[in-house]
Amino acid sequence: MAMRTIAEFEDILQPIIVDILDWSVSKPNDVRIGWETEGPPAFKITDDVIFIMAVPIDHQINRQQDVSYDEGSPDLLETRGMTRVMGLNVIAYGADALYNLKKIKTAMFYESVRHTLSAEQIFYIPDTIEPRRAPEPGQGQWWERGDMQLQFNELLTDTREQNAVESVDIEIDRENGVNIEFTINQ
Amino acid sequence: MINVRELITDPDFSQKFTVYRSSGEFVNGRWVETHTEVSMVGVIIPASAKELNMLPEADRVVGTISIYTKTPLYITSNDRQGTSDKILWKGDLWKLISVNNYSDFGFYKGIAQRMAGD
Repeated sequence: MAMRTIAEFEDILQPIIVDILDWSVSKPNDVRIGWETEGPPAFKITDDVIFIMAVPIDHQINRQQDVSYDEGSPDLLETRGMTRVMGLNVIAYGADALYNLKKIKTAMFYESVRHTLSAEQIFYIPDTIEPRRAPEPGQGQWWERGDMQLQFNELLTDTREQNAVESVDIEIDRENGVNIEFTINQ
Repeated sequence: MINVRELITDPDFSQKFTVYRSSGEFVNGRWVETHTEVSMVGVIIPASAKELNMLPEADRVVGTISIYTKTPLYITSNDRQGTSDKILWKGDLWKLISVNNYSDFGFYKGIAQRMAGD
């Protein structure tokens, strides 16, 4: 896998959260991805809607890179593996905001969810703090809202061709005038 | 109430311009939209000067215009499932950020923000 973009990460998580909430049939697009360029239409105060936004998190483990080489043709294939800690901000609106967040948090431990995530080399970090209730005022009303952040370890790999030495020509000039030439092949 | 509708299309003040009206839908949680072109006649004047914001990475140009029309202008709406109208004026696209419904007096007024940063 090449380096995954933030948008690709969000696109992986969106359907998983839809499934967790059992919204696949009724409202698959009410798990929405935030910070859209055009600023899409909002929602009604009665709607249960989830917004997800991925934000990379700085961590010591992000600094480490493991490099391996494989035979390519004709060069070597260099694979650089690294972990990226990725945060997923989950913001829920609607009467069931906190209930939905709790449901998502709990489901991160389900085998089916873990299996789907691990197939994408994404691994949940089981240390999510309790979803926070944070109703916000707007349009003369209080909008029920809850926030939480899930964190994941993501395995990223960067692969590129690395030139390999096929042969080396050696020339030795000696003082007695007898020169030696030979070639070392791979 | 005085109806000033005829002033909006008075050739002494008005001009033709194009509005890009959006409609869209969420696909896998992301907003995907298409635009249709609408030809309009109305009055457009600067609402604020084209200004330069000096940022460390680059100079950014911002500005707003006022648009007066006889037909409605739209900002982002969930019921309409579309984002704000974009107006092509003097080679730039301007996105509506506010609309005043003065239809009782025969017109609508919008304020639009310059979309390009350069």
